[in-house]
Amino acid sequence: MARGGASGRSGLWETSASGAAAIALPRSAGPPSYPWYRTPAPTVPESLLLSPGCQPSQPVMLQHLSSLPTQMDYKGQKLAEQMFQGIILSSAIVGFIYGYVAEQFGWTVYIVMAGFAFSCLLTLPPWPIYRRHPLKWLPVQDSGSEDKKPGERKIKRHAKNN
Amino acid sequence: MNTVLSRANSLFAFSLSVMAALTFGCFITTAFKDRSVPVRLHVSRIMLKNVEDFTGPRERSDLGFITFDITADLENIFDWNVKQLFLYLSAEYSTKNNALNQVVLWDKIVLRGDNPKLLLRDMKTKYFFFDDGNGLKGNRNVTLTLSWNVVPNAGILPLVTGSGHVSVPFPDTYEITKSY
Repeated sequence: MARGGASGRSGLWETSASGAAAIALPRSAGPPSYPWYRTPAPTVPESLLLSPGCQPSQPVMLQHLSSLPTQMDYKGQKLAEQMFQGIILSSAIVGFIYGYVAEQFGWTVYIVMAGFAFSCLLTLPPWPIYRRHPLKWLPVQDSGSEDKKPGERKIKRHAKNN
Repeated sequence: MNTVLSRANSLFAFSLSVMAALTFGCFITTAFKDRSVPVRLHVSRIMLKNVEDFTGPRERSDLGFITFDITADLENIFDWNVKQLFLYLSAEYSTKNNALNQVVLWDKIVLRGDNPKLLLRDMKTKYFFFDDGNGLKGNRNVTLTLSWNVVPNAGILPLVTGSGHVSVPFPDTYEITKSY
């Protein structure tokens, strides 16, 4: 889920409120005091920028992996689903006709598997076309809670992202 | 559809459902096809012996030896839903002990891709042609037919009889074997 706001303010903590940071969340099940665990940034370099000066206590590779973005926004998910369904259905029709004409069912299976591989390539990695409609979050409420320590803030979870 | 795993799950399940639908389509396009072809059989030699059947009670039973020819063109049976054919030659006759006897004498597996035109000459039977008793001696009418089982990729396995058979009478006397 892409963040509605821009980069590095204390909008950092609002992203933790979106339960849709599904990759970041399992790692942050412990004490919520390291900001870089929670950042589902749209691009990798931005997420590196957002670790505000604290040293990571894990090896760097694992930190990169856990902050790699794999989320899409909702319109992107719909686009991805339509795309893979369309690709697999069309490869199934082509495969059926070709197998019938060539009198070998094996060709039908191969063509459908090729369609499956192609749609894997096209929809599994989170390409940028699936992130063109990020959600617009409400601006931060100034209710005097900004001077609390980050560790004491409650974690809000949105029901629809579970 | 938010994580990679969830998308991969959805994609894979959809592919499997589509594959199942295609397999059903493959079955439906060939389910009502007639799989019988004309077959020409010819018997060139029959010999009859009376031997002890060691697999049964210790009485002497009739044992027949047949040499036959088969001519058949199986090409029209093979389509995209046929994996292989299991052919077998069976003999049918009636005796005073049993109204109907059926004995399989020879079989063959024809895979898709093998030569579908059968031109077999002077074939010996693969299996013993024993009768339970002495019903083959002087039997007027022993009918040989070629049948096959069609093994499909998807669907039902039909058992089809070829359209062509040959009836032969068996000799009245036994052959005597000489051992030296």
